[in-house]
Amino acid sequence: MMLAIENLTAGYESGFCVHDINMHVQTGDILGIIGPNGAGKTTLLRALTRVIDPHGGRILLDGRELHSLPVKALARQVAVVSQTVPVGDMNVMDFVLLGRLPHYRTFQFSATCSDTDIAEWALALTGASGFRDRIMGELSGGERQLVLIARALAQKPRLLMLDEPIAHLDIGHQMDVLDLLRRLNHDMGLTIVMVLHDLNLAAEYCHTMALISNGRLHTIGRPDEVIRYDIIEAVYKTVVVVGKNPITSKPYILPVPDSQRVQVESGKGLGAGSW
Amino acid sequence: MNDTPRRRRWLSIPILLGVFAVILLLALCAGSEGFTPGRLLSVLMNGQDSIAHTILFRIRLPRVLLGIAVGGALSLAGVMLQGVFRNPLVEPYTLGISGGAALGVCLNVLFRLSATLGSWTLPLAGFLGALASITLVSMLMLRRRFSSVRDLLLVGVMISFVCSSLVMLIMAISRDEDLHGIVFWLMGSLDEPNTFLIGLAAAVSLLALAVSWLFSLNLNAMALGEEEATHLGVRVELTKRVLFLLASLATGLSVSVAGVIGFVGLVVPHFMRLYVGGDHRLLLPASWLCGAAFLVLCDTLARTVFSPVELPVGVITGILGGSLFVYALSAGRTLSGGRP
Repeated sequence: MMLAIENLTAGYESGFCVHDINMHVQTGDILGIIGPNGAGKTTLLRALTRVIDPHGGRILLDGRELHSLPVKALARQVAVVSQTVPVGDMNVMDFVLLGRLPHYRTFQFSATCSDTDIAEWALALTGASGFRDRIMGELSGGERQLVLIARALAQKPRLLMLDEPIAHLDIGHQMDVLDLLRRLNHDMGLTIVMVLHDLNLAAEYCHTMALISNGRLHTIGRPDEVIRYDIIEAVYKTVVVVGKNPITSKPYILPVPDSQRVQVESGKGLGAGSW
Repeated sequence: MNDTPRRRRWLSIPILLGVFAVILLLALCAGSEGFTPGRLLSVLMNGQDSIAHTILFRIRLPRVLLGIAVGGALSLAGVMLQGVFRNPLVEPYTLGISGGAALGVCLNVLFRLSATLGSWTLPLAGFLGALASITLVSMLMLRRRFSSVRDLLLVGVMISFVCSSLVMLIMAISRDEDLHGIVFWLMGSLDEPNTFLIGLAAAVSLLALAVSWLFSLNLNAMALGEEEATHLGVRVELTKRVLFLLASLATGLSVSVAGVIGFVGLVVPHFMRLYVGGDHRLLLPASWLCGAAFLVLCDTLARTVFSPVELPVGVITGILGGSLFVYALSAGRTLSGGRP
């Protein structure tokens, strides 16, 4: 087991908290954290990435308390792709090279050939080599996301955490990013924890899903254990129809507009696998 | 392909060194007793007992050295503060740190500490005043999570205002013989007879350059935000503490020796960011060099433009820097210029 979260309570001075979270992330897993707006997904991720300290409970990385690890040692094992990064006028290659900082020796002030090779490798892996000389601020949302993942890969982490990596991307770029993450997981054994809003894409790409509601862990399990209409309706307070993707056999949901709910509730299509 | 602009940016250091050397030569030659470069050389080689030699070594060289130390230190403090606050409009003067240092020095004069305990108490008082201001600013800005340029500058202006009011209070209650010293010192001048203080300023300026450079990569990462820097393994709190301490030391010492010299820490980093980019490995030494050259040039102008009347150097930097500050505020967007 790589990441163990035990009775975790964490939050902000303003009062918002996640409470009593218990979950385990196995090595090689892709865990998707899902939940409605304001449920506490990002708060949980911020606790897992050490941005906020736990008020109670603990987070163990390979059996060691995450918050007691030296920050540099942690950055060699865990890379984080945040939702908003002020990238400014930085060159793409220089930006990706920042991912090598945790591996710099004391009194090392510039990238070695090996650091540059790793940055080139990360850019190639994410398909971002073509814009290595461009300015970060000039990239499109999709390109920028690939470069952010390339910088995280340059850290050579074992665990990658991402906060809504496909937010604001069109469906093509969403698939590019998620396919890339799946490849990294499959080919390199990279363990991935990510916050996602899109339940269908989360069900498609994640091995395990953790549904957060009102700051608490509501359900955790395989996608077909979490994407159930009764669970989704209870948490998201909306009527949905759950089906099965005929190609991948993964569950997917269709939201039902208010005007059609009478039909659904009278039995025309309600429930998983019913159509 | 990517290495070419990077190499070109590193070439800016020799260019700056060349400009620095020309300005030093100009500063040593220009004055009421003017020298040509040839005469300067002959005085340096053979004129040990001449009046020219005395002018050069007793008056101009100490002044130039102090200009280098103070200009370099103030520019460095500007780069460090701008890097930590991720805001190109902050510098020791606009953040009220110079004001805090000035208050510290005035208290020292009021209680006659340097007269009784020694001149070393003067920079110590400046340092403690600067440290108190920077602690107050950082507590208000970072703990309270104010982050806009307006909040930051308003906090700085308020601290400056309170400090200058307290300085005026001290002036109102101080003895006549102290009052003249305070007024002249407040206007900013590089005319410092105490060689110990000049040596100390030079040592601290170089020390600040060396130590801040050790944190240059941390500052590069912090340009992405503190959370991102933490994810990259940077010890953000340690970096902030060390750089705040260094900025206080550099500002406190500069103010205690040369008075309140405004805007050097704003003007120089601004232009250097445009010239060499935002990579602090380059920006820190480039700003130190340019700050040193800029202040020496301003001082040369201050003592030659209306010769024999000598202007306070703070007047020249204030006119140049204040105009640029207003321009920069109105141009806004260009201030973030520069790329690491």
